[in-house]
Amino acid sequence: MKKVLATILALCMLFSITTAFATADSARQLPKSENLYFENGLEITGMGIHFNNYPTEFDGCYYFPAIQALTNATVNIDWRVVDNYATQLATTLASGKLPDIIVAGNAGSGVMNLVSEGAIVPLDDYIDLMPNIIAAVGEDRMASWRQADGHIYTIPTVVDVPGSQSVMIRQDWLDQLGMAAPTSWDEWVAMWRAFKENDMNGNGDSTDEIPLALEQGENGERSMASLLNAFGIKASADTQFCLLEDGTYTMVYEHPRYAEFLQAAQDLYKEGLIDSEFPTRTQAELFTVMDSGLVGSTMTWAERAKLSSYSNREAGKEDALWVCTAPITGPYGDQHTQERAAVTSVWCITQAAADAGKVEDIVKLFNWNFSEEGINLYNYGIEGETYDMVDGQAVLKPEVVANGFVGYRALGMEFEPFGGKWLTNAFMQCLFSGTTLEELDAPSASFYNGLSIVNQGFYYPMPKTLETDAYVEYRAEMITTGVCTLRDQTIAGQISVEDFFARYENLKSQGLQEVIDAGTAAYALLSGK
Amino acid sequence: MAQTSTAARQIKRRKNGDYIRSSRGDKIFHGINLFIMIVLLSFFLYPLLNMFSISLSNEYAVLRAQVTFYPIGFNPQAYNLIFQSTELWRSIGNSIFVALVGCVSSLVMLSVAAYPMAFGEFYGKKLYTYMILFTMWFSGGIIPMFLTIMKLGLYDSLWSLIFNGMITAYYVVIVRSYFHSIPISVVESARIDGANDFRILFQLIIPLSKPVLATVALWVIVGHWNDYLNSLLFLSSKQNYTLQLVLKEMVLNAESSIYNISMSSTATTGGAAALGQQVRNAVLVVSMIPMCILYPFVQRYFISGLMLGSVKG
Repeated sequence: MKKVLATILALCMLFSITTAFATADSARQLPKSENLYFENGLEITGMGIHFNNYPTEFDGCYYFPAIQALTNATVNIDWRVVDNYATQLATTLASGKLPDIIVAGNAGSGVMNLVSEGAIVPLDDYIDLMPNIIAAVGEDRMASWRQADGHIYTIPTVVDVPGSQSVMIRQDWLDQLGMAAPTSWDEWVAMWRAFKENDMNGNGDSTDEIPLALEQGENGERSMASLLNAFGIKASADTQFCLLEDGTYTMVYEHPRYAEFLQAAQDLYKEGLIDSEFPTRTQAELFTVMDSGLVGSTMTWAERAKLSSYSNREAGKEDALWVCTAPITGPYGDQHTQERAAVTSVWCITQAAADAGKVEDIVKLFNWNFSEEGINLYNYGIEGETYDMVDGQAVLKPEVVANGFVGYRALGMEFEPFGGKWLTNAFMQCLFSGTTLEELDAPSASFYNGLSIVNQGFYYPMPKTLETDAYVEYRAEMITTGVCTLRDQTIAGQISVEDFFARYENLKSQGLQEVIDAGTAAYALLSGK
Repeated sequence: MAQTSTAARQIKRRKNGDYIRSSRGDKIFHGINLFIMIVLLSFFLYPLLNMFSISLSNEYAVLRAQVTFYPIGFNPQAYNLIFQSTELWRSIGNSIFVALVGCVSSLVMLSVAAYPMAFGEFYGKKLYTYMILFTMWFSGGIIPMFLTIMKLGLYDSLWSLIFNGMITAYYVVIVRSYFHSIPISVVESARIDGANDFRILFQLIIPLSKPVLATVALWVIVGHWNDYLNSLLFLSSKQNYTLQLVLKEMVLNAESSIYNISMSSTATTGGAAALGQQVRNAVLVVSMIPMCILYPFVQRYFISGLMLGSVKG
């Protein structure tokens, strides 16, 4: 009997449906570019990290065949999964067979590791060949492009689209309490208290509501981002570094208002207004408690406002609605939120390419990628095939954006793993998927508001976490399991604020001061001060 | 008296018609045993049922972590995604090739390695044995292994996976132990009849060793089937990818689907958000299916092989 069932199971596996949608053929018919064409051809090999649903074969979409047709440059990337990428990179380095371009992985520390291995070349000498890239990055963001030693080693991706995270509140809970969205610190605290003291989700348990939910971020460093901003501390993405008023780059713990922030967070925790599991709650767990109707307010990806609204409604709360709001207003009236990191490092050019004399040509190709022609190809695709010009504006065809980003990216557009410059116009066309603002339902409108409206005027450019040698050496011991643990213990009331600073001074003597000094010096170098 | 105690006992019939009587103590023991086994079964079964249920449940139930051991609602989007992949079937073919060829070559090489340890009498036998056992305790690591594969010209070839796992010291020991249980007189009489060692091994010893070879074959096949890290390191071309690599890529891509949420219809929103979790569980189910197909055919060998070498007769 078991063998019969096993055989039936095997037969049931024998079905599949194959689908394919590629415009590679039309890409090959493009006329050569007037801006850049390699008469003798250019072959570039690469190893990069693949993610999302972008095609991975050379002719799986229009993009790389189009580059080939336009510039006579053939780019063949060996796309790898991000899982164990460091191991894959190490084995590639060990083999001695480096491709021409490579993604370092792990942001700055990956780049500096490759530098110390002698695997990649600095690009400072080729800066004159990159006017389009420099224009896309912008003079005020050059520091984000350089590594901690002041040199440029990477070709960046530039994302000029609105910020993606927002503070959000359960509007239906506010309506139930007859309260308006808070506009001052006292009103925020009053709102959290009201969420705590009333059984807002109506399940009979008045102790399971989480007035302000927080997620730990990577390695537990990032929690409290929204509250830090409310105290005027404009922190980096990992909330460990900041710029003081005088422009000095240092750790957030050196900020004059940090003690006040810590005390306020401790008081909020004591009252039960902050998520009791904040030190360990992951992003996935935050989403689960939002969808389960336990959370009153939080700061997370704006699309969560839409998603969790639908999830709560599907669970029976017909009027559930998450609204994106302006950032939390602090006791001194500060209202800030982190801008999306616009410049991220992608490709490094390897020593193998330098030995083959290809560096200049590769730089020229990436510079072309940031030209108007290249940006158009990246964001809109092929005219007549994926977009039309309407009153001088590129308009994506309805079938391209019908399924939002899913279909758009499956076609290879805005090919993020390869990098380029995102345009807000193309992003918005995709985001709206052919709908208009008036047609949006309340959750979708809230999502849009969180992306484009409510945070305008409150963004600040995040200072980059500079991965100096001291930072790499001491991060795990002094930061992740050191000062961050002390911070969490203080907020949870296990130690006092005074104890925190006493122990913090101890950590500084053990190496944290080196991290601060190295960061300050590196920032001064990068910013030209 | 005897009749009263007879009436109080439960009578159990054996196959051949004889009767054995269960005492009250036996009955209590069986009851407790059954209870413990049911509890253990539920511990083992719950994760599997949970995994299967999440892969098929309604997306919002998945997002709210409400799914336990039965599906809530029905949404097969994860399976649609997996089975619509053109790379999936090619990768299954690759994995089958590696598993089958790897299994056959492993069995042959393991037998060849174990035979002299069991029946050989030659100078250096102890050194030979320790050389094999040494690899069980110490390993060169990933980089030396990668460099060896590169030097052999096997990079981006399925043969890198086959050769890499061909002879495992632990399996050699298992096979050798079983060979020891075969009477030496069988080998000696074959030698007297003029058979050489190869003939003895392939025509006598191996046919007598079906239980151990079937057991080891199952382990080898499962090992090749579930192998991920070696495939990740040694394979770069998509057409050579094995099933685990393709499934992992699907999971990672599905987890990125959260970034594809737009203003388009609500039907896609929850689905995109839950896709990562559902695909993660669905790939586990899909990768289990081939083993579930194979196991009924080798189960009796596996069970008899469990006690390999433990009873000498």
